[in-house]
Amino acid sequence: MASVEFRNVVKRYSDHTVISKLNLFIPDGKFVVLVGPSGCGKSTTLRMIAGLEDITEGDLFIGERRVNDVLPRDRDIAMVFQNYALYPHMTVRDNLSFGLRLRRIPPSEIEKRVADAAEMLGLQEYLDRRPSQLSGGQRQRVAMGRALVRRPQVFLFDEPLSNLDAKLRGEMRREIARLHHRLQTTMVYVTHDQVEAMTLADIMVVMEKGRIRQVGNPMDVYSQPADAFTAAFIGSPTINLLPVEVRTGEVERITTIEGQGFSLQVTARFMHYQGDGLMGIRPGDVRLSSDTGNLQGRIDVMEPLGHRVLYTVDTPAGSVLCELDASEARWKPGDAVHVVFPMELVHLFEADGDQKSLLLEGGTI
Amino acid sequence: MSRWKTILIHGFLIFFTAMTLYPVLLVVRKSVTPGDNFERSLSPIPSRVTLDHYSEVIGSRDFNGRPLFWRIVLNSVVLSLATTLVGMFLASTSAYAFSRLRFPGRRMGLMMFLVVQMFPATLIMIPLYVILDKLGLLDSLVGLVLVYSTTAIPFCVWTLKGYFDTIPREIEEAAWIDGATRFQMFWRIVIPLSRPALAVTALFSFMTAWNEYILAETFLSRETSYTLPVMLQHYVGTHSTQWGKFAAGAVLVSIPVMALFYILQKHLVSGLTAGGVKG
Ligand SMILES: Nc1ncnc2c1ncn2[C@@H]1O[C@H](COP(=O)(O)OP(=O)(O)OP(=O)(O)O)[C@@H](O)[C@H]1O
Ligand SMILES: [Mg+2]
Repeated sequence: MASVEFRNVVKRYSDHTVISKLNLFIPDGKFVVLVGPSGCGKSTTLRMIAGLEDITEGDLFIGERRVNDVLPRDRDIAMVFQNYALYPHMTVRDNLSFGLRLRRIPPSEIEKRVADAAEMLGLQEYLDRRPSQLSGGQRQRVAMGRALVRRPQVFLFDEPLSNLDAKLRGEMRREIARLHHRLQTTMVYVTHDQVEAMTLADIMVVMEKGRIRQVGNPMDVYSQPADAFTAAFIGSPTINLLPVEVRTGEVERITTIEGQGFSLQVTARFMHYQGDGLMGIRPGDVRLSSDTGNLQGRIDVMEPLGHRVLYTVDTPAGSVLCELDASEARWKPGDAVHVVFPMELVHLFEADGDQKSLLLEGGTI
Repeated sequence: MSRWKTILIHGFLIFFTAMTLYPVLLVVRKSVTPGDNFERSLSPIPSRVTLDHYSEVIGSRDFNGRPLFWRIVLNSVVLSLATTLVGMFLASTSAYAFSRLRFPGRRMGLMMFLVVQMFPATLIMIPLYVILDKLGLLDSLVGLVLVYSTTAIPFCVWTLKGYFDTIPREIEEAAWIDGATRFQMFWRIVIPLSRPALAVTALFSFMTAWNEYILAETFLSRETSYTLPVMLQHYVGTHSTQWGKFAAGAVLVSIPVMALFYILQKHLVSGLTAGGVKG
């Protein structure tokens, strides 16, 4: 088991910078999820840990060891690829044992480890089959088993579940969680699925365009996003972001948020800031009312999701998404409603640049 | 409709198969027909049958009285196998480098292979002759092995590189992480996965050596170092042409190649990488 640390790591392809100044410490034994939109550099980051990509600048440590110039096979890591990358010409058993045989582990030990992994992943019946004779989910398990038998210091996963259907994805997700709980080995997991990110991560790393936007416990990232990008990326349905003007009184420590057709006054849980901003509020935090509220609107679309109902409300400030319990959902498309923004659940971001959060560190109302 | 289509397609295929096979059948007919002139008749059925031509070819002896035919068969077999081995070794390793590594001169090298292919072998006959002469490799199978395996390389490299390119890199990366060296990645992953392409190129190399005539005729002068095509050509002499022996020899020469095709055909079927990665 080992920690992983990036110190000022830069990755460039000729003159095209893919990762700029990455600093990240992954403590020993943690489950870290790198999450971000397509092309943001998640795979590149993971492949640098694996040693499959050179590091242009900076230092990468696994444990105490600087590994910039260490070959993948000497890094004591194992990786599960998105497309499984099984050895097609070998049986499942040989796929699992290939790495061990290369490392000259004694046959009895190999047999034991393969049997353990096969049992853990329910692969016993398939040991003599070729990958082409397995379903997607089974191949996925073989890929995990191949990593497992190695007993590496660090496990790397690159979107391992993205080729599975929704039901299987859920099952495998829980299996991976169980695996980590059992092994307590450092795992770095790449995904663009925020459900996987939220549910699996001890530490979630939100990336965008080769930069880290936020690092933290998933619930903290969800409830206190550091910027508008993270707020919009994490959470489903997507957070409402409305353009507003922000004014903070010097004396009263009251912040006024002025949007199209509404105005909120909140006490100073926000930085002193004057100017354009973005107000964020999660659909699940928005309330509707027939008589009073912050903003008047009209129901545009109603989407029943079972025990929840998703409303799209047309307002002067733009479309506002609102997710209600089915029992509270008494409006129909076309109905006039008042939208309520509970003050304590409102996020506020700068309108320009990195759209940083204006929330004070640890601030509440 | 679909029935007519089937008939049409099969008629078409049968016609062209017949077109291809007919000359071969005429050669077979000649090989079992007594006499040395080539009958003008188009019937593939011989009027009289004899195996004399075959026994004459097989029973031929050199001027020391030793069996000549088997000696020449051995020459051809050794030559073709050696060409295949040397050619496959050089071609597969360089194709792997061209496919997986990025180095200065890579594009240039691939282009040169194509350009070299455009010159007919006869064009380089004289320079080759001079080179082999200087190396003392005229009239030797070693010289021919070198010439054949190098002339077959461009085609083999292109074919193999094309196939290697289709093998997902992640499979090798997985092996690398698993502990494989570059050579192990090549030998234990890429080579076993490339059986169809290897079969094609091996066959090509083998046949290059097995069938080649012009260079062999130029470089080999002793009867005992002849290859089968050279032997055949010598039946068609300047003064008289022994069509019977020629036909019998031609049939004998083509049997091993047919056998090879038959053995290799199941490896020629592609699709071996199926299942390794999500398609
Ligand atoms: N060999 C390469 N040469 C040049 N640019 C590359 C190369 N490989 C990746 N990139 C670029 O690096 C960026 C990051 O790629 P990366 O594969 O890390 O993205 P990702 O976050 O894993 O995306 P996805 O979710 O689609 O897998 C992309 O913009 C990509 O175009
Ligand atoms: Mg990726």
